[in-house]
Amino acid sequence: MIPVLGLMVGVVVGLLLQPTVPDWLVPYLPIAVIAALDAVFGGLRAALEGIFNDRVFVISFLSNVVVAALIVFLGNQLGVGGQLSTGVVVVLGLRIFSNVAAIRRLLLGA
Amino acid sequence: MRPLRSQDGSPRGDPAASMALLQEVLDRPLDPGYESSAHARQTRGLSPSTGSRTPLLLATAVLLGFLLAVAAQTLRTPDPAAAQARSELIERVRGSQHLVEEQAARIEGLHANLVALEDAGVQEDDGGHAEQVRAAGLHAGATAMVGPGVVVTLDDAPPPPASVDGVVVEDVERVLAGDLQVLVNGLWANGAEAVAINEQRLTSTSAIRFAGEAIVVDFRGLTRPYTVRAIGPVEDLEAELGSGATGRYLQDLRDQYGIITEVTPQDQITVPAATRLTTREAQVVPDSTIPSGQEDDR
Repeated sequence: MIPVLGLMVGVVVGLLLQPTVPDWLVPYLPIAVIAALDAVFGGLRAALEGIFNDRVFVISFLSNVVVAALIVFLGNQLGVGGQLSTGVVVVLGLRIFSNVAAIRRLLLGA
Repeated sequence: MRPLRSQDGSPRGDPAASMALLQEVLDRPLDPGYESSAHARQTRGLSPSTGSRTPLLLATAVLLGFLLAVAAQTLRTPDPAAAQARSELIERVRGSQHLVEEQAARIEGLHANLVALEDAGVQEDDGGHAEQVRAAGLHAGATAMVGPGVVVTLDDAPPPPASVDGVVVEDVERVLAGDLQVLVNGLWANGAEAVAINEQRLTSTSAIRFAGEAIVVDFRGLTRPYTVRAIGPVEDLEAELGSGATGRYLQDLRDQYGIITEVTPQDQITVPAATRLTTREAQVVPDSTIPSGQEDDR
């Protein structure tokens, strides 16, 4: 429950503060969100399997976001930004789906 | 190549090594860090999971929520600005259309005044000129006319049923200016005395042209459907539109392109007066009581 509360606190803070994101950062926001989602689902699955570790969770969260942003940035510099970000999104999406399927198996046995 | 851990007990031989990347992505998405740190904790005697109450987790959750909220807000804000600009444009378009309607009404009124003044001016001369001017006006299209005739309606072909993935098919067969020209020429040649398209009276100098995507008659664009009203001998016109050259042309349009054509004879057709008759020649009458000359070369 506590992490969920923390999540809601973060959402409320974000809605209240309404920070303006600098323009150069805006293209990386979608990728960051998807990478964060991947880390979250990985953490959820680990928690359900009983081997959750907060340090690993934080590191995977941060490194996912940073690596995804780096790949998109590199792609933009090389001129293949669209394709690389598509690749990143596809892989992260696959991982999310796998994790969700495992969570579903653990929760519902189906 | 990193050796694969066989998860179902069956050994994976070398032949599957090339699939390592796909399997890495699909079969073991859980970060191996969790398992190794769980092992490490177990060897130290702690429970494998750190639980859900650590402050680090709380901080991460707050950060995550913050990221989600910021991303959602940032990636959504462009919309209201565009929607507002769009609604503003719509307002302006409506206002301008209203203005256009007002001006058109004013033009009608002024035109009626003009006609009245011209008639009055002609009456001042001897009666012969009055008849000439009236007859000329009739033939030129300066007066509205009522009489029996034929109404022909042309419309673009109906769009084909929505094709693959709901992609709108762009190439609908449209009515072209040439079609209208052929039709109107056929009507004139077979005795029509007055012809109007979509309430636009055709005079002897009217042009039916194609500009961009719209058919333009006398520099005014028309929208589909195109209703051609012709006052004249009903039987002749009907015969021409049924079995004459124009009729065959219309039939071709129907058969080959799917253009919708409809011919209806009517007893009472009203055709408006032309609005673009211009005065080309004018002479000041020596008698200064009449304001402007009446020698119109229409």
